Amino acid sequence: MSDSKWKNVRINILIMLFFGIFSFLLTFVFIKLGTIVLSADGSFHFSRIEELYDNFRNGKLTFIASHTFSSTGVGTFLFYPSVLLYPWIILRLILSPVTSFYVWYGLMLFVTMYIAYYSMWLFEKDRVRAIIYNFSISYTSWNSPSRSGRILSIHVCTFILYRFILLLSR
Amino acid sequence: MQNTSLRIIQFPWRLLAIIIVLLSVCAVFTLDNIRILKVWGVVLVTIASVTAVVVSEQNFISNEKSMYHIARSDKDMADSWDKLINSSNYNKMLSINQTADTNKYFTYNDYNKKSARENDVSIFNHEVSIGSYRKSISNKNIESGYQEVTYKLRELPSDSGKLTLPFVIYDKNNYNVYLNSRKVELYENKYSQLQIYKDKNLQNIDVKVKYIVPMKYKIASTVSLVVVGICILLLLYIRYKNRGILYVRQ
Repeated sequence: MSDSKWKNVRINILIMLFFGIFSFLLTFVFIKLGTIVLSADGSFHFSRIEELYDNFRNGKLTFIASHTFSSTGVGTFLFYPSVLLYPWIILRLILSPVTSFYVWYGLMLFVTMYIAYYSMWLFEKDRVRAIIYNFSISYTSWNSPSRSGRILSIHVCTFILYRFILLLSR
Repeated sequence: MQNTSLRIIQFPWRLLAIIIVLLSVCAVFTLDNIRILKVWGVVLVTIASVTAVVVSEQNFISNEKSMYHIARSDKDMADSWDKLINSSNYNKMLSINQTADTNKYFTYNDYNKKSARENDVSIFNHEVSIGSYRKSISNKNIESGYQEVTYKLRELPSDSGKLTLPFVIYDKNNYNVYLNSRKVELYENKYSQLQIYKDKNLQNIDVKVKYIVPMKYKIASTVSLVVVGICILLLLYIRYKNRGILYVRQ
């Protein structure tokens, strides 16, 4: 491996490590507290998770609610995407409900921070700008675990925008 | 936006979140164009970010006891904005009847089928009806299985008629219903609730409703999975083919 390529790898590892520490700091305190603010839609999302978890541990996918949502057959799963919830459900197999949520939140924060950073780096080829962008965009999702959907969408949005601009410019 | 076609989206103002992306791009160019920040920009942003995190967390911890409370009752759960859940009340939160009188904020309502929403109190209170007869069944008389629910109904009136159950139907072709283990035809009322025909003198019955995953869903899932696999393989192939070009660029 050439020196410049090795240098790039080292910088990337350092940046990933930095984002990792940052995500850890953001979630560790909450794991220690052991509580989640229920907020507006909390019970709705936790009900979704429990239904998915119940079926997943039996090796099955979910389409309607038969255990949660008061066993009313509500078909939230037919329309609401749940692919990104599966890491949470896998964590739920080994951790308590509260801890699994925060570990998933930290993991998603880390992944999405890196996506935002990488997207801006692809666009500008400038690490400083990419880091500034990442922190600017990430600020909205810090300390608001109950708004996890926003973290996922806003960060990934940058990547989609970048690809869209690339497509138009060609 | 409420007067445009966007109103079909739940809370259309959420689309305005794109502003966050645009403001972040503005922040990048503004900070980057300030000479002193060209070198120290990333350090300053990092310090500001870490400070913001520490301060907001500290703020949450110090306010936790005064602003938030562990939810202990259904009433607490129903008024959820300032309530906390932990491992002790997690299951209680899942089993709460969201339409209870004490609930100020029925969070499932937005996500229920539109026609069913008009009768959600009855559905979530597990009301069973036949003719003018109405009865709420308790949770112990409801058995949940994988994509199926069994209602154990006892002491129903002896009259025949359409029995309405607290179960929401989406496309009735995707459900099978069994009355005492015998498959029966199902109907749907105007609130999208499951209905079956009950014969005369049947007073103690078990009704099982089972969701049958449509073939098109299975095909769509398989196609999605295959397409994702092909995309990953293609990306790896392109990466492999361009490895020389990428190296020259660097």
